[in-house]
Amino acid sequence: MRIFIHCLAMIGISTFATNVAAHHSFAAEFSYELFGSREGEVVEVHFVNPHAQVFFAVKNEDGEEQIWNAQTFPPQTLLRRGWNRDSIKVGDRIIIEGNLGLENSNKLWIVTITLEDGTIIRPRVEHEAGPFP
Amino acid sequence: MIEQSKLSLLGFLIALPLATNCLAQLEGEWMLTVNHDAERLGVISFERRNGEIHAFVDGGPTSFEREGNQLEFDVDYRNGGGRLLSRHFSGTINGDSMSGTLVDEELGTNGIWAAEPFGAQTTSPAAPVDISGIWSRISAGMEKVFLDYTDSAEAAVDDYTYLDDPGLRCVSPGLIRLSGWPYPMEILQNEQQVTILYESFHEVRRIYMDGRDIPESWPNSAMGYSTGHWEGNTLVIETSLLKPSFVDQAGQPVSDRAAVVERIVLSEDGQNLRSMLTLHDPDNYNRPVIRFRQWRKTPERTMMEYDCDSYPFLRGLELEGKLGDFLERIRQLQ
Repeated sequence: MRIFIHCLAMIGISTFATNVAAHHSFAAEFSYELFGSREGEVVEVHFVNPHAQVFFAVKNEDGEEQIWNAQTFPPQTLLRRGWNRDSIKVGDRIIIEGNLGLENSNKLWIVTITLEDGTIIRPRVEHEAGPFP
Repeated sequence: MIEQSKLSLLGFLIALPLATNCLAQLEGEWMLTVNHDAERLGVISFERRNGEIHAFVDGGPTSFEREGNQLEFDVDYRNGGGRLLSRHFSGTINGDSMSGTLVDEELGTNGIWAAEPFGAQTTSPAAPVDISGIWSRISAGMEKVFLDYTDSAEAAVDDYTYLDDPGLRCVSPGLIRLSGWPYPMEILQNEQQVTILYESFHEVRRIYMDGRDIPESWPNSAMGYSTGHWEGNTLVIETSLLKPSFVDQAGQPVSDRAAVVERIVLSEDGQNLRSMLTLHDPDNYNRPVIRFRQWRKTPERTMMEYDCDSYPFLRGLELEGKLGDFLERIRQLQ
């Protein structure tokens, strides 16, 4: 499953990296080149502007629990792409793959979210080309 | 030897007026149309100082070289994610037109460009057109990052961090940025007023078309105080009384003494709106800053609510151990 997810993510990377639709400086927070995935349990979901955010608890190699902060497009964009407020709930076990945060921060800019039943949620790149202000 | 000198002199005498003519053709403003992932507009201007030609794009200095009728210049920009990139333009000038190709070497993408002299705007009798409806952004302009800063503006840009962006705290980013935001806007129009409802940040602009002046005393706000009039079929909006903000996500400052002029034109088929926005802000820029916006008419689109909550952003900072520093910085910026 992991390999499959990774392949899916990589398909989108070349365009994703140049069209990340953050209104805010993605480049100041996330790597364009480094991607990773983390598995954990959702502890908070915020389906709001300026970015939808999912906080989820991940066990690191030492068995310690860390809260990861995964961000994606705001609701206007997600709703128009079929991701609604109920797509992810607190308590869900998920795997999130995305651009890694800079400075070893526990952050991801979401490329895919895989739910327990195998459903993959995938925020797509902006169709409207060009920089956001 | 003598003959050679005469020939050289003759060549010089022929070349001088030709060269002067080339320079004369170049000086002034040109409307730049660029096709690089989307159609983008810009203004490139050439000025002579101390015998040398200097080039500016949308009010920002840019490198420029010319050899005969061959031109080369570079224009920096940021993509949607805030990554600093550059387009390298090369082409030829041929009478009153220029054209050529461009490449972004870092992304490995290329495009084409053309430019024509940007004539003086003439005043013509008002001929209002119907621009009401829901409009969605289709592309932006050149989004040049480095502008012709005053010393204080340069220091402010150097000091800026992405955390200074008011949008992260659900605070309106102000007229200039918001006018280019990717979410739709709805225009309501009557003879006395044009009203723009932005999906982003629930912002509302009332553009008074009743001939009033901008008041001398009125609270400054994110979208400012706007009056408008028609010049032919162009809606001209003048705005001041703005709160300090930024031109874009690179943190170029806008002062509370800034004045903005927008010239908005409807395409002949009625399906596209194009706006040229000029920021006059001598506190921060030695020459006006220009931004272009374009929208497509999208009557099928339904406006959504801008449901904004700063908590997850602040929670993220808390997890990174940056919340205290952030709050202290915002206190200082107030």
